[in-house]
Amino acid sequence: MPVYTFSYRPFEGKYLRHFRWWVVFLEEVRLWNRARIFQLLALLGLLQPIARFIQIIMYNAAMQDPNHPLAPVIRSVVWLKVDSELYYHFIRLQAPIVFLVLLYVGAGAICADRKNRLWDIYFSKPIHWYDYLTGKIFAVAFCGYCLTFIPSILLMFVDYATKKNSTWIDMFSYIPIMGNSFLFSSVIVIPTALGIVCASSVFPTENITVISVVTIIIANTSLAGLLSNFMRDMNYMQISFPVAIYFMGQKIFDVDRNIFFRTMDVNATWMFMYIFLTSLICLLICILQVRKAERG
Amino acid sequence: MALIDVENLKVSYGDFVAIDGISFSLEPGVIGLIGPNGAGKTTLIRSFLGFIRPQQGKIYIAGNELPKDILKVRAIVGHMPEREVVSPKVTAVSFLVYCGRLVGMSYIDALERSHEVLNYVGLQEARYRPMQTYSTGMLQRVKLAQSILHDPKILILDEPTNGLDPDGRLEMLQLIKEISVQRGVTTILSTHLLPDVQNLCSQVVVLNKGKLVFCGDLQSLFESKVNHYEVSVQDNEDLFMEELTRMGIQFEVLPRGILSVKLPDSLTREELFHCAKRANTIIRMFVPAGGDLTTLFQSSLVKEEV
Repeated sequence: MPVYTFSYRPFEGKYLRHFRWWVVFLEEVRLWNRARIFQLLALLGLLQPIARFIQIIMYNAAMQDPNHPLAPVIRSVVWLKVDSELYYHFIRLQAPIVFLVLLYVGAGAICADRKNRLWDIYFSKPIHWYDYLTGKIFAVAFCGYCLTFIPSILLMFVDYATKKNSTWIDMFSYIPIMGNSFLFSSVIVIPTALGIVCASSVFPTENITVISVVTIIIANTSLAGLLSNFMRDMNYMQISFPVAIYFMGQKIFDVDRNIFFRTMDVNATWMFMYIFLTSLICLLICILQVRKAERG
Repeated sequence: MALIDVENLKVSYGDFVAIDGISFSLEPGVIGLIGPNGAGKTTLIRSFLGFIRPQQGKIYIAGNELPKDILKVRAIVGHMPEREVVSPKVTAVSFLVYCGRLVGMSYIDALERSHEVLNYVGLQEARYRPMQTYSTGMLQRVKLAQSILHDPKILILDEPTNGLDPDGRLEMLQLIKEISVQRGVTTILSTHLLPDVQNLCSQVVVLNKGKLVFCGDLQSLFESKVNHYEVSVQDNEDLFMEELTRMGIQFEVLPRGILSVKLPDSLTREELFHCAKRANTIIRMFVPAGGDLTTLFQSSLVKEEV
């Protein structure tokens, strides 16, 4: 091994002291961004935004031109209508792919570092446990927002741009929809990201994390279904996490078409607290695990 | 204040006491941290990095108190962990850039510095290969590279020659010597290989069962063994010991009938042969005590057990 006497020199640059979590965030994004499976899943996640993009362009073109050959067809199909409900359905239908993508990017977020003993190196650098954990959680959540909130903003922009005679004041009409989209995206993304990162901090490998998370979700929904059948009370379905999330989405967008939810005596505050507390517990477990590694 | 000050440090894992109230001070230089398995070496290193919170006692590193100033300490310390570390799908350059950015370097600085240190540790050809394709020796070099990336003032190396072939071990030692002796980086070398410590280190800390056996200058340890011999006689051992006592010669009984004899300055080693003659026996073994660190280490551990 040759020793290059002159290649080692004192470092004379400056050290940045803040926003270390940003470094962890960037590294995490860089790592999964290059994986083939992630690229495939992301493509799958882009199918609906592309379909919605075409839907908005077609709908606006047909509605603004009465002589358009497709106008009668488009007018007669209810689900092609472009209004605030479109964004609800868009985000709702993205939820399964968001779950899959987050499972892929989040399952190894913490357990891979622990398995490869990288904590010994990372925590010997001047970073705190909260820099590390914030970077990891933000990266996973960012991925979720990229598939829900960010495309919905782009779709709103497409809708605005393809409407003829729209003035800049019309842009303000999108603000409530934007807010609702952000809230519904957050209700899907944040608990999912925290749950998956929490599982990653507890279980030893990526595979075990994925299997555990899927098992927990299936068991949770099955338990809710069994209880509601045995007790002959649909309110027990609220225990199911996916049901709670969809219900929150309906409340946020004020959509009340689903007959399933009408059979329940649902309290939105209770549902929110259920989701919030579950997320909080997941966050606390993550903190305990990572803090223990950094501070003993 | 010394570079590293440890005061009454106690670390336990549940009921098991890993470090039992040790105190010592270390000056800049190359420091060997030695002791048998389970002596508390790795626990001590992890305490220096703030990974373990002690039950009692204080640690000061370069004037910074732990755990209060932990980030300041981590900024000036480079750590090469004992266990194999690998980021499987990442190249050595990317891994080091990430480590550099965690320390607080800008991307450009981290990239430049990563290439420099990878060249320095001899990984110039392999730096763009994923780390999962590296041999144990190459991973050891990556660990060393990340520890010196930010130009630390103190370098903590935990078993740096583990898993290396003889050539690799010599090259690693050459690198450590270059960094510590020529570049003036204070280095704490934790190892089982005592000849490595003897060749590289100026100070030594010996731990056994969580207790401090010796801490100080390696040279003074050898100098204290002047006029110190290990002797065994063929028979009449009791008479021989009586003769030694009568002459005012201090001695200790070691295992296998060996006596560790310290002669006063007024007496020469010939006096031991006269004692043997008076005890009507002959000297079977006569060697200077503590000729190398291994002997010193073993005798200090035996002393502890006695």
